[in-house]
Amino acid sequence: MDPKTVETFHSITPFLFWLIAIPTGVCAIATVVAQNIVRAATWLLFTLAGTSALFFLLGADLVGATQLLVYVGGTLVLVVFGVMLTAQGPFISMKTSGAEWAISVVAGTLLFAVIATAVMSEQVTIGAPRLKQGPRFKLGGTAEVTPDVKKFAPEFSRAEREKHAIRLGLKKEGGPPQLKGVVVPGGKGGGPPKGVGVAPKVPPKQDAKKDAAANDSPKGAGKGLPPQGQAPVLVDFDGPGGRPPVLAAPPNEEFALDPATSPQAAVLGQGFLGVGVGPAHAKGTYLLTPRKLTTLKEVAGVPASVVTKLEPLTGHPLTREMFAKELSIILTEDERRFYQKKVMEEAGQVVRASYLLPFEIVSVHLLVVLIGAAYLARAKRRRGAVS
Amino acid sequence: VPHLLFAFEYIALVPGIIGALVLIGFLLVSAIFSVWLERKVAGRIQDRLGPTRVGGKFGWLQTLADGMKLLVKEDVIPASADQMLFRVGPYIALIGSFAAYLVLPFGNQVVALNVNVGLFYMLAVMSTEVFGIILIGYGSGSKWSLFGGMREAAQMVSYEIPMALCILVPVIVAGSMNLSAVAMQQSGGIWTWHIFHDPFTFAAFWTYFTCAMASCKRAPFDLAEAESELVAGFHTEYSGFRWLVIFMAEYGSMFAVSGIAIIMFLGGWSLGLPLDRDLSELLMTVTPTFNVPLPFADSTVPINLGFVLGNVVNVVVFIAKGWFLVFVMMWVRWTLPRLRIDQVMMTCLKYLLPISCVLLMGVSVWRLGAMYVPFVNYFHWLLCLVSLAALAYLIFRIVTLAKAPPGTAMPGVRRLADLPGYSGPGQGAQTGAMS
Repeated sequence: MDPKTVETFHSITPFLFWLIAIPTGVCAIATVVAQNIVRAATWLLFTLAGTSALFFLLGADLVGATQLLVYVGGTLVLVVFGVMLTAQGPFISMKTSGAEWAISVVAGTLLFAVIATAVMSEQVTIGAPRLKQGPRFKLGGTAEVTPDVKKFAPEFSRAEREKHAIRLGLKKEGGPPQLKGVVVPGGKGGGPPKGVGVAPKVPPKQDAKKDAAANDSPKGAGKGLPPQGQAPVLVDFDGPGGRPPVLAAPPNEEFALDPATSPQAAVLGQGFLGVGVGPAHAKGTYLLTPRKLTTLKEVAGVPASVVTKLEPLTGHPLTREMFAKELSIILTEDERRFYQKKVMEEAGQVVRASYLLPFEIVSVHLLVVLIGAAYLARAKRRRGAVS
Repeated sequence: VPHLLFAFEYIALVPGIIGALVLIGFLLVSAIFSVWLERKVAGRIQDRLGPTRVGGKFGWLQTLADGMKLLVKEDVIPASADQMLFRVGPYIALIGSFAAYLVLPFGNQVVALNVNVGLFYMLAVMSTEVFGIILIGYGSGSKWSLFGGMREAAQMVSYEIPMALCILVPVIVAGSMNLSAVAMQQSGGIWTWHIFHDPFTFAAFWTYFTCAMASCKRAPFDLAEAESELVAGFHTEYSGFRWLVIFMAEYGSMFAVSGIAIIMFLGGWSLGLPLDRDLSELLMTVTPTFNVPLPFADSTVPINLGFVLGNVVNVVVFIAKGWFLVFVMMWVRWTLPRLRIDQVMMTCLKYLLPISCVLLMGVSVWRLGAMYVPFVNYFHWLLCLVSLAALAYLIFRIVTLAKAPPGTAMPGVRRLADLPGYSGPGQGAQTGAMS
């Protein structure tokens, strides 16, 4: 992929976000400030529609459409019906006193504080709590990326490669559909595979400790690894695209990619299913995104033996299309669905673990606000027509 | 963040803008054509000619002239109206109807946004149109308009329920809410169209179309248009451009609901020919692909001639089908008498809603039965054959009826001279009279 395209593709999203978010925010303020109830409902309509547009921008089409159907098409219409049917005169407006304003500002600020605290305190990094220190991929230097892994694995049959994958824990026998990793040991006799740009290095001693720790994993995925000092292995995903960008390197080694010269590196920086399979302990398939790093193996339920921290190339968010594109290159349809489900489950766990308390606080707060609003609405006040 | 905000290449916006302009253009042209067609159809059904003068023989430019007239009309906002709501109402209605076109596919991959839940999105967006109607009625500051708005809103909200239930029937058959995917499923012969899949989808089409007409405020549910009795209900206070916008919204949603009907029931852009896949994909296999360089960008885009040609045919077929259904709506409007509002609501709640529930249940049972009863899988042949035979007979009857003299073919129509005890002028005249 042309790195330039990637750049363009990604950076249009923030622009669209602000394009939608700013008017939505303005409309939200207008909803609160408006004194005429039906006008407030109209502003609320714009706010809710803007929120659903944000959902669409996030790629959550179903949520966006549901937002439109339930809130705009349903609730809001009901509200306006109610207002019209119970109105005593034309164009009711509510005159609010200064004290009421003060109370509502306090209530609103409290709500905002709770939500903001919840959002800022816990970064939504799926699988992040389990991250440990590991080898570091540093972007920006130079390294070579093997363009075509198929070239290096002609002498192995599919069954053989699959056996290797199972041995390395990239695939479970008879288990759920996992990443169809097919592992190909490098050049015979300990030499590096021909054409691999990164030379194999004997890992330092400290890695042996990590290896042992990794092998503590309950499912024993780390067992049966190639012994230390062996040549790096390549992982060929053998996907429908046939030519996934694959990175082969000893992961205990700091190595770097130059986005200027290597298109794969640019893709890597933007979010890419990178692969790092090393001689001793390092295995795993890394889903590299600017803000988080998840090993797909971990997502798939296989305990990760090595987790790395990756520095993002840019701050651009990974978009849904990019994600889907990368996944569809490498994964089959079944696998893709499986991982999407897994990611969702992980997200659900994060939400349950981190957001339950703020959610409860907010719900109680909303209840109080609702009662307060009902009180305000029922209180005797001057009603007058708006010109 | 700010330096990232405008860091993209603006060329990336161009496809989106072009797509939006094309869709808006289509909406405008479609509305202009529909209004002209409506007048011609109304004229013909009432034994008139309709517009004949403006723009040549058929009055082609009549709508354009009307539009010009509306644009230069005085823009009146009643003193008692809520200025903001009065102004904003028509645009909300228009946006509700226009935004539905975003996910409406006109051909194989000829769609602005290929959304997985496209059908759901369309129903959701079109349900926001009712909010515009309410605001129009409420903001006018007139009790007359308010009552009209409430009437229309109640009607539209009620009819959305059986409409959505009916549209679920082909969804169960198709197993998808992606409009493109559903259309591509029916790209074979006419018997692969979902309307012929089983008796429930067949019935669901007619029920859906009835509900769709009602939710577009079309006859016989067109109380908004009851100028003789109700003086146009919710948009009484509107004139000029805003009135035009309200009408654009109505005609826009007419084509949108027709588009849903075509994609879910009537084969999408398929011609009904026994091809084994979509026309554009079929042609693609025999024509070469050219890499066309993009302007202002150093990349190329592969364009296949057959794919483009096939899709041109697809789009033409789709639009023709859509306009045909719009024509049927007009045909119904100018043929059937108008219902009262209580009759409108009764039709929905006492008849269409139970019918749609039964259809939804029936199609589920049918799908279940298809696993066990082999005959069920071939039922669409029978249904298709019977329907086509019925259609042929209908056309035959229409043609022969039109040619037959009154009193011979059409029951209830007698010549004046034939009536017993008639003696007066017009003896032997060819004018018929309803008995």
